[in-house]
Amino acid sequence: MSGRSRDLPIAEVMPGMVLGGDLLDNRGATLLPEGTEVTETLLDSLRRREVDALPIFVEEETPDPGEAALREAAQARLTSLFRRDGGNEADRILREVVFAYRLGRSP
Amino acid sequence: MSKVSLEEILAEVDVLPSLPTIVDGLVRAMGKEDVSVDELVDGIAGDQALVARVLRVANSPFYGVQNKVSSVHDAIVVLGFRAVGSLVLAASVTGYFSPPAGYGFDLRGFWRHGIGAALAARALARKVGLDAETGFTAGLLHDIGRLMLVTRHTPVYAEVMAACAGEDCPVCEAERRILGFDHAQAGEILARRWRFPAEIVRAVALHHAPEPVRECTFADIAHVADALAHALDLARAEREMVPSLDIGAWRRLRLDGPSLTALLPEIEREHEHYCALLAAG
Repeated sequence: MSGRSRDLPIAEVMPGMVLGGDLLDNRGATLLPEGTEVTETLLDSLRRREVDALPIFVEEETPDPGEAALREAAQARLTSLFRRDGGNEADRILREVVFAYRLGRSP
Repeated sequence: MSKVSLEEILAEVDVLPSLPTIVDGLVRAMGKEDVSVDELVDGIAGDQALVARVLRVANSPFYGVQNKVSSVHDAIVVLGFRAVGSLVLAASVTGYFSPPAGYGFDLRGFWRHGIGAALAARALARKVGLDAETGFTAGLLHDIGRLMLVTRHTPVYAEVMAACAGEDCPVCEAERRILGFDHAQAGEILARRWRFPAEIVRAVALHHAPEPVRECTFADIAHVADALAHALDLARAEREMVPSLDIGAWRRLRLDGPSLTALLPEIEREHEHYCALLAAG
């Protein structure tokens, strides 16, 4: 599972979340190690210690590999279709329009 | 390998079987408004396969007709006289040539492209205020010379196809080098022999190189429609390639990015529908 750590205000931390990095105290000592699962009891204790934010693990938003592959194939097909580029203004517009039509954006 | 000359093509179109009578009538009626509905109905009614096809189109969800269309006459009411005419013509012409198998000619792809060009040409003709059904026929038939050549002169045409594949060049370049003429010239001869209207004959003849004229012609329409059908990859041909556009034809059609974009979804939607109907799916 790929992901990264993001500092979340303690008010937004929910039980069940997992620490994405070590929680350190003011002197740099580890209070809680990375990977600790947050519980209600733990949250109470952290609030009492006036900890205001926690490094929380967030999953990386990876694009659907199937969709990405399809898009890549569509792009490769378009590049092949337009391999003989006449280079005039009409050729350029046709190419741009069809790329945008197929891929939803300009080439 | 025996070659073929343009003189031989000229001579042999005279001995080709004629088009079905109904198509012959349709061709001559093309562009005229005074053809009677009865004549068309009678012509179609004699051919049960055609009747079935026409009714299939008229009853398809595409046209959103509430009540079932059960006669050719009703189909003409639903689809319009001219549209039934071009459909019948398409159904007849697509069955006319049967190139021998085993030479790598993709007949289904050929007609998928032809139907795509026909629909693109119809949309372009509408856009510039020219007759839509003449556009359809010009688009459908623009490459008919290729089909005649591959059917009647298969071995030498196989050389042309091999050269195209080997060098990744446009088909008319390989044709000119190997045959000494191209499919647009062969198609012009055939379209004239079939007594198509002069504007369609010219569209077939000039679809790769429209003349620099003042007003938009069906050659301009066939030229751009051909490129659109290639660009939309409608034939799904392995070596599909978009040809370069003639800037004069493009300008006479007054096309730009937004107006071109607006045409594409309809062409694609109609394409699947027509291919299914004409069994080129």
